[in-house]
Amino acid sequence: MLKKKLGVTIGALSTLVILSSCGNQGAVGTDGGDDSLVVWSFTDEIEDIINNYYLEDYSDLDYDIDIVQFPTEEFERILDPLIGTGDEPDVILMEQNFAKKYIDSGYLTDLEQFEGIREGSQSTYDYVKEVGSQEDGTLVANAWQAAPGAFFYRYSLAEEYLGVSEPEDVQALISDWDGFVDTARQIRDASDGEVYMIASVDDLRFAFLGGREQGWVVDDELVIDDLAYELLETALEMNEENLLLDAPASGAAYFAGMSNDEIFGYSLPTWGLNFWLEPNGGEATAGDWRMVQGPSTYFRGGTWVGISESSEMKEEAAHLIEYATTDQDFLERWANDTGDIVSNEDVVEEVRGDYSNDFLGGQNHYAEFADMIDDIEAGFVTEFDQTINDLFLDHALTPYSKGEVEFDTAIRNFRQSVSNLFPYIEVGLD
Amino acid sequence: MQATTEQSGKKRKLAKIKNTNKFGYWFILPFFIVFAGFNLYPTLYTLYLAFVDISGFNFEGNFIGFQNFSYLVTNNLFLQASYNTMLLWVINFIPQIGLALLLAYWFTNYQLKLRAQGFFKSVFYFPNIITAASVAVIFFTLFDYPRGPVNMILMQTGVLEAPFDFFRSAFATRSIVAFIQFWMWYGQTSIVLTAGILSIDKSLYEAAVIDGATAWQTFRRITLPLLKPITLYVLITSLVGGLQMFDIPRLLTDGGPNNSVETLMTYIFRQAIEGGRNVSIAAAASVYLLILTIILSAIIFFLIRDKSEREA
Repeated sequence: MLKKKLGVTIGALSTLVILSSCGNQGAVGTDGGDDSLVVWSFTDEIEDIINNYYLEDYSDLDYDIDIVQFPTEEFERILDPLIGTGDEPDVILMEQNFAKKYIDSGYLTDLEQFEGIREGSQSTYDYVKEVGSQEDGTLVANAWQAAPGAFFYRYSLAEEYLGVSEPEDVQALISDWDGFVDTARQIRDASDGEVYMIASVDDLRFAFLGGREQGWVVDDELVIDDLAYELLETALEMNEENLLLDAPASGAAYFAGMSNDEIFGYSLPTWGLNFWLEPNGGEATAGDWRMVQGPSTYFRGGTWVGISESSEMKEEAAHLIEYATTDQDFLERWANDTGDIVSNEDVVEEVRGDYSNDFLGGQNHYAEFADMIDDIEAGFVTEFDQTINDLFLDHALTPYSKGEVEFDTAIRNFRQSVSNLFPYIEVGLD
Repeated sequence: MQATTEQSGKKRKLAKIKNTNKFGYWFILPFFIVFAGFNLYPTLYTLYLAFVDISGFNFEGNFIGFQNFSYLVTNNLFLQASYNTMLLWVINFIPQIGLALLLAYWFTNYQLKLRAQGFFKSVFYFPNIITAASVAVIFFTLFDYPRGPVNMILMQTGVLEAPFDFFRSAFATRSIVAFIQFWMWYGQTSIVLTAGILSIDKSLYEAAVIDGATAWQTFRRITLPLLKPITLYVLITSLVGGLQMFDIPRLLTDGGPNNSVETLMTYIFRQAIEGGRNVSIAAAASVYLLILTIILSAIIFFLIRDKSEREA
C-alpha cells in the first residue's frame, strides 16, 4: 500500500522530529538540569499549590520549577521507562492505584532524612504514611490530602421513599451491607422501580475492596479476600433484583444520574464531591445531597509525592514536599479554599468546626469525613492495584454481576487473567 | 595497449575513469540510516529481548533460552489472541475484497458509464482518512448501552424489546470490529483493484466483445485472471496489516469482553506496558508474529503465483 509506505516515511520523519525536540527538552526537562526543579504530575492541583501558594510564600527561589503534566492513564506508561535510568524527574506525583509501584521500587528517596518532613509528618494521618512507606517502613512519599470514602444520598428521595431523611437515620438503615440491600429494595418497591439505589457496581466495588485487610498479592501469591467474594454476590443480587442501574462506571449514564431523580445515592470519596457530584449535579440537585459513612470504611484515591533517588536537587525537592504535605499554614489555607480534606490531623481538627456545605444542604461534611479517617486501613494497597483492580472488574465483577458467567468461571477467568499479566504470581489455578 | 606503450618507450598518460555512480549511494543513504535506527536495530534488539527474562523495572536479564517461547505456546491468552487475529482478519477481508471487486468492476465498466465516479470514489475512501481513534469513539458512541443511537433505533422500530449491550457480547463486538476494519479499508482496496483493472489491455476486451462474450464471461475469463498479481498484492498487504490489528480493538473495548477481540498486537502491547511489564514475553510474542506473517504471506504467495504461472 502506497499510503502505508508514505505513512511509514512520515511516521519516521515525525519520530525524528519528536525525538530531536525531546532530546532538547530532555536536557533541561528530566535530569534535573542546572537550575530547574522538574515535577511530573497527572493532576493540575500541584500547579495550583506551587503557583498560588508555594511561590507566593517563597518568591525568592534561585531556581525554576517546571511542571510536566500527563493524563492519569498515560502517566505510568511515560514514567515507567525512565525509572532506573537516572533520568527520572526530581519530584514524582503518584496516584493511589499505582503509588506503591514506585514506592516499593527502591528508586525513591528516603524522606525521613529531611528534618522538616520528618517533623512535619508526625501529625500526618497514619494511613497516608502507610501508603507512602516502603515495605521496610521507610517513608518515601507523602500526601497533602486524605480521601476517605462516604455514601452521598438524595435528601428528598429518602424522605419520599424511606420516610426518613436525616443523615443519622439513613446511616442507621445502611450501616451494614444487608441493611444497604434491604434499603435498596424498599426504595425500588416504593418507587415502582423508578429509582435505583446506586448507579453502577463501582459504588460497591471501592467500598467493598477498600475494607480488605490484605492486598491482592501477598508474597507473590494472589489473595482473594472474602470481601471480594461478597462483592461479587452483592453485585449480582442487586443487579438481578434491579436495585442498581448498572451503568458503566464514569460513563454518561452514571453522571446523568447525579442530576435526575433516577439514582438514590453514590459511594464517593472526598474528591468525588468536588470533582464529580457538584459539577454533574449542578443546579438541579444542589442542596438536596447529604453524606453518611455508609456500610463500610474505605478510602479511594489520593495523590502521593516523592523524590527520585537520582535527583540532583533533593534539598529543593524536599522543601517543596515539606511545604505541600506538612506546612500547617498552607494546609489550612488549602483546606479553607478548596474544601479538601487534608492529610494533617492537627489542621483537620482546627478547621473542622465551622464548616457548612451548601451543596450538602448546610451539612458539615468536613467533620463527617474527619471522623472516618481514623478507621481507615491502608494495608491492602499494593503495587499491583491498578492492573488487578481492572482485571477483577473486567473478568469477574462485570461478567458475574450481569449473570453472564457462573461464579467459578468468573473466579477462574480472573485468576487466569492475573497470571497472564504477572506470570510469576502464584494464582492458585491447578 | 600496454605493449604499444612499452614499444615506443614513452610513458603515456591514461584517462582516469570518474565514478559518478557513487553519488547515488549518498542519495539513498538517509533511508538506510533511518532504516538501521528505527527498523533494523529494534528488530535485532527484540530478538535479544525474547531470549532473556526482563520485566518490571529490571534492565539486565538472564539468558533463558526458549522459555518465553514455550510459555507462549501454552498460554491461553496468547493462543486466543492468535485465533482472534486470524478470525477478525478473515471476517473483515472476505466482504472487503468482495465489495471492492464489485465496485472496481462497476467503476471500470464502460457499458455502465457511471456518473460522478470521482465523487463516489472519494466518499468510499473517506473512512480511511479518519483516524482510528475517532472511528473507535464514533462506533463506541453509536453502540452505547443502554441509550446509544443504535439501541434507540432498534427499540423504536421494534427489533429489540430491551436495549442490547453490544460490547458485552463477543459476537457483537467481533462483528463491530470486523465491520470497522472492512468499512475503513474497502475504499482503499477498491481503488487498488480499479487501477489493476484499468491496467489490463483494452484490446482484450474488444476482442472478447467481437467474439460475442457476455459481460460475465469477460469478467471471469479476462479480468479475474489478469487481476491476479494485484489481488496477490492486496491479499498480502491486507494480511500483514490485519495481523497487526491494534488500534480499533484497543480503543473500542481494550480486548474485551472476555478477550474476544484481544489481538496479537494488543496482547504484545499489554505484556510490554501493563501489569508486570513482561518485556521479554512481549518480545517473544513479536517474534512469533513475525514468523506467522512470513509463513502466511509465503503460503498465499505460492498458492496464487504458482497457479498463474502454470496456466500461462
